[in-house]
Amino acid sequence: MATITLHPTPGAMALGIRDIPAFPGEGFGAGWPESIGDAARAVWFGNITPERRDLGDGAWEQTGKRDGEVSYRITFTATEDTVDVQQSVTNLSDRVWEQSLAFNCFQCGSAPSIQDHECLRHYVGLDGEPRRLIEIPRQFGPRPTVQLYSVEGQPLGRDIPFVAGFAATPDVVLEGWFAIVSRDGKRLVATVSKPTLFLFQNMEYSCIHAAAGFGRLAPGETGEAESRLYFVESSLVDWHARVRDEMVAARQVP
Amino acid sequence: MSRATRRAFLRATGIGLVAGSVSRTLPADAQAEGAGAAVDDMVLIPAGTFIMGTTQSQADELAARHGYHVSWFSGEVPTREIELPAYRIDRFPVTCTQYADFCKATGHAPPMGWRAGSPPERLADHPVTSVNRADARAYAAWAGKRLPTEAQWEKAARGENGLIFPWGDEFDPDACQFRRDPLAPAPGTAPVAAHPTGASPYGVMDMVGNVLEWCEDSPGPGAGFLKGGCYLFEEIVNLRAASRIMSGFDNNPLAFYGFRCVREVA
Repeated sequence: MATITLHPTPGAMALGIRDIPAFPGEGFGAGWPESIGDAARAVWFGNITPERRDLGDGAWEQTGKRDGEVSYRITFTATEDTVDVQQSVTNLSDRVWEQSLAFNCFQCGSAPSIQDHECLRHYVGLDGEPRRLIEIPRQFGPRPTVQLYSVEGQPLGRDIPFVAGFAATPDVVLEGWFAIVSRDGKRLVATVSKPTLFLFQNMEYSCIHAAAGFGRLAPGETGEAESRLYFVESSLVDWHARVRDEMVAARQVP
Repeated sequence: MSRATRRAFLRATGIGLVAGSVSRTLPADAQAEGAGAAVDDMVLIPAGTFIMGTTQSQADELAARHGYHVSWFSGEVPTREIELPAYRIDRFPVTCTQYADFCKATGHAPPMGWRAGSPPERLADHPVTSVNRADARAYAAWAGKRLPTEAQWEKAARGENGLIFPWGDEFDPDACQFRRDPLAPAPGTAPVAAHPTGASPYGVMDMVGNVLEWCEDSPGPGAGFLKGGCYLFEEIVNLRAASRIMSGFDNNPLAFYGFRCVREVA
């Protein structure tokens, strides 16, 4: 089966995702990373220009650095229904980062079969079951189209400075994935990280995020995390079983 | 709407289609009101109170019927009685033709996708889109107007007594431009006069569906209220006049954002 193709935008953190077997003729975008580093003082994309290297077989490596603060290395690898992202982040500052993150945007607004500015086909996991996002409490903040969610096994959003700053986190704890089901109900896209530190969505752009967490990093330390984007022909229930298996399996890898 | 029906509607409302664009009859009092008065067709909204927002019991019922957590309606609950002085509001959203005139007169950058400063001809009488709030404010200032507050927009859309939709309390799929078939491609914008049965109690047109409309006020710095739903929406909950749609980043010129203007009455 053909694999998905990746198309980095030179000089920008944007990545086009095309030739997707489950979504013929449609394209998606990824902003990777939109923000990275210390969860209390993350560096936004405008302050780091990425450098890229073609690794062959459609894979790409991206690196970026802000002297005295952060450096990162990311590799993107596509299969027929996923884009896998390996990320490492190094603390170049003289501060201890109590929490560190890569805030990664999965942009779905340009794919007509998925685009969903009303959140009617957005799904999250609660108490072991997929649930429509509109069933989940919403906390309107000063930027009311965005919403951030705490994730199982991670600190609550209010205890993560990056998240708390948006004042838009309802009192609910979700599984570490976000999905949008297609209009025909037969396909879906999703984002998940291992581990996911928190979730984010912006209905204005129809984008979803599963921010990768790297935990506590002392000066000079490097953290690793993995993210995956799914583009699958599947029911939500079947995919949910798959992602839970893959997340558990990934945790067992040293 | 058939062509004959549309012509009859345009005659009745004083609107004539000239070379594919909307040409409006100019009220005498508007002629003295500002530099952009030559394109005016504004509706007087009289001074007085109106019911804004949604009651808690209505929100509970909406949530139960449409599968929402009730907190999604928290921005519009509870209802409140608002007193507003008289004002005029554009009968229609600002069209591509009107916006092109503004761009040509001022040198303001045209929306993305236009060629040589002009919209595609087929969109001449459609609402302008891909404008952010600064663009909308610049147009309004040029026209001697400003953007409506959320309250002004909502009163013009639902009248004094809190109608759910501009035309009444029951949804009418022929009264607005929305995604009628969730499985079909999005319909795109429609001409601003395409849905005559969508008139509000004051005769303001195209308030619901077609494009979300920028308001002057904000839920927070850099954010903005948008009202009225748009052609991408399929859930009638989001096509109610009280529905509070918002932009988290008011510098976004998205393809489903447009606007109309208001002017104070001296």
